[in-house]
Amino acid sequence: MGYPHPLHERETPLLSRYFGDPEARSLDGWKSRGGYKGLEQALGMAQADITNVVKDSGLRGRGGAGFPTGLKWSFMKPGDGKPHYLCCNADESEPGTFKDREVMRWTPHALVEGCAIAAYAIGAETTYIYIRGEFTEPLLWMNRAVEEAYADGILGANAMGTGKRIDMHVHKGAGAYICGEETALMESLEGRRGNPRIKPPFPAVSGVFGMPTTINNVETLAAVPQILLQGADWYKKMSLSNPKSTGTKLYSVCGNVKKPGTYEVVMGFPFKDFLYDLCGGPLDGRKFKAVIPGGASVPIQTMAEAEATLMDYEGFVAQGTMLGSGGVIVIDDAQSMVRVIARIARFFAHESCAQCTQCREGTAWTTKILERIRDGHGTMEDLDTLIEIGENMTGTTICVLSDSCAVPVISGIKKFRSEFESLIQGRRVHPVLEAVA
Amino acid sequence: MAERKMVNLTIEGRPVSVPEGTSILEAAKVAGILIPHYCYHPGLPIAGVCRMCLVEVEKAPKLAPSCATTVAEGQVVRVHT
Amino acid sequence: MKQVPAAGYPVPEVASHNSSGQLYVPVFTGTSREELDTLLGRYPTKMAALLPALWIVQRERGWVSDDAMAEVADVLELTPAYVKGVVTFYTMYHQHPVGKYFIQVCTTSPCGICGADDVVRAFLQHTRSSDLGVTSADGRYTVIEVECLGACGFPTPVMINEEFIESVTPGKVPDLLARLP
Repeated sequence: MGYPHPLHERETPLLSRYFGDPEARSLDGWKSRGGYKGLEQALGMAQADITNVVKDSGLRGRGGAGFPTGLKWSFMKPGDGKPHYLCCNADESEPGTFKDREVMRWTPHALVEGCAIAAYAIGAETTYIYIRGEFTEPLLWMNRAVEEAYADGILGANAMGTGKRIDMHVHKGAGAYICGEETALMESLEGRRGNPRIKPPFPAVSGVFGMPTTINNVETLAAVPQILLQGADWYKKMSLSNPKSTGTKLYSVCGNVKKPGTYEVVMGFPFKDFLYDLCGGPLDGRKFKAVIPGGASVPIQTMAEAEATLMDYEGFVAQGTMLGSGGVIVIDDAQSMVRVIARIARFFAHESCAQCTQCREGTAWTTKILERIRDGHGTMEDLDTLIEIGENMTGTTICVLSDSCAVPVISGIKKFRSEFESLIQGRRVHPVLEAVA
Repeated sequence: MAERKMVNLTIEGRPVSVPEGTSILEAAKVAGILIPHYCYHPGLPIAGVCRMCLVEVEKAPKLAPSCATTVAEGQVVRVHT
Repeated sequence: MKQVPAAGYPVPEVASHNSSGQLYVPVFTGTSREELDTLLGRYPTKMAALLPALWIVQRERGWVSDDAMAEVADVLELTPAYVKGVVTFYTMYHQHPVGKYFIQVCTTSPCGICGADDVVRAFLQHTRSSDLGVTSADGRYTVIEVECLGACGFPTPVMINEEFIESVTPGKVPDLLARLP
């Protein structure tokens, strides 16, 4: 659905078909819509076969990294005598992203089913669904869905009567963006401060509680039941562009557009049509200026780049950005890019776990400089300093929050340098900008 | 007692041979090279958070924290770059 | 004894537990203790039940005091210093008493460009709070800015205690506040 708007004819509602349909949230409602047939089929298959189907389908991590899911599952070695764990990453905190929230509050059983299939495939008897503490509604519905599944015998020591154990628990987070990073999530689950760990060792070797763990995003897991039921080829065929990006993606559109909401389109959909047709285009009297297509951590795109993009992993990279989480933030000509970027930098400064020197100091320093420029006290040297700080923050830290802060700053200065220079030189800015800023 | 396998690598042009499992930072000490570090202490678990000990390892895509990276055969490490 | 302020906002002047000489009443008795025992069964270590245990404390008492941290440490076989370290990392645990209604307004960029700052101003004005993070004189409201609440397509999202409200505009603020009991 272009939820909360009516379904657009060019969308492909795989995951979003029942967004806005309250009946789909109950177990009975879900079963009448074909739910849990995927799990039933999976429990009758060999574990390696399930992993192969997912590998073959080309499903890639939908949380932002785009790592091939089947490949990730295959890292879990069977028969090593250690308890395996599955963690579902529902700590959706990337600015601009709100798709996992919709999956959890409208189709919670899709996630329960996906997690159950994944847990069985990787040999995990226990699954933890880590949901961020602010998500009151998703927590409510996921807790209810897990309870209903236990009551119905779908989960528990004898999942669907097959004698296999599938346990699932919802774990509430407490307000930290960094806990969306997989190793920080594991630390938080263990009851520690959410500080990311050094990799190696990787989660599949030593993860939560020191045991082999797989972590997947909500959207990735919710897509698994249908892939299993309809087959890998069906999913692979859903790609308008290149075979390395298959299936559909849920995009959360926000910012200065006429119809913000959650849209689901196949890989390779043209971004220009997406923005102007599906999302309704800019607000009256305004024009689009910039787009951040994958949440605040990916490079900012100019409209020229955006309008030439095909929406898939490689397509976004070809046009100077990344798919990321699919949180599309649209910025129009009434906004000041400096203001927007300064606020993004402040977000990262707040959320840094403060382990690594580059991130702890760099995010704070970047924010100070950007706010100084925003308030009219910047100098031209500041721009060089910002780029130097950004370069030092890239590729040198334990996790990529540091890189994520550097990216909008560097891409913003590169592509919208004139706005920074205007503020520094104290020139009178465009009347619309001045009125709103 | 089984002998630990020795690993040969080059740090700042100096060849050095250390038991496998040694960190690059310790190997550099053996080679007489001091890699600046702040959060590392031989008596404590490896933290790897100050990032002061980052070194260049030939053919590796990113800088490596030498306190937390074990030596590998034939590695070429540059410290002062 | 002054409490350590949580990240970002000033600490209101409130008599702390210790200095007023009141006896601390434990949280984990009766049903809360049963709840904790169920939770402990979900994880292989006691430490993993720390975040859920702290949520129980906050639900029962409205905030997490040093005494409560000591109790949680005792129950989970951790040290009070360790528990405090974890509490101070996460933004949602209050380390000092807050207003009856804790109002969190998202102001990160996607909401920022859709007028979130105006919503913050409206809340400050209508709750008669002197500043962000400062509880209003009648003790009813504390307003703070937070980072992305994950509802960017419904600007501006606001949390009032555990209630999540979407699409708040400055015009809706008076009615929102009026309907709070």
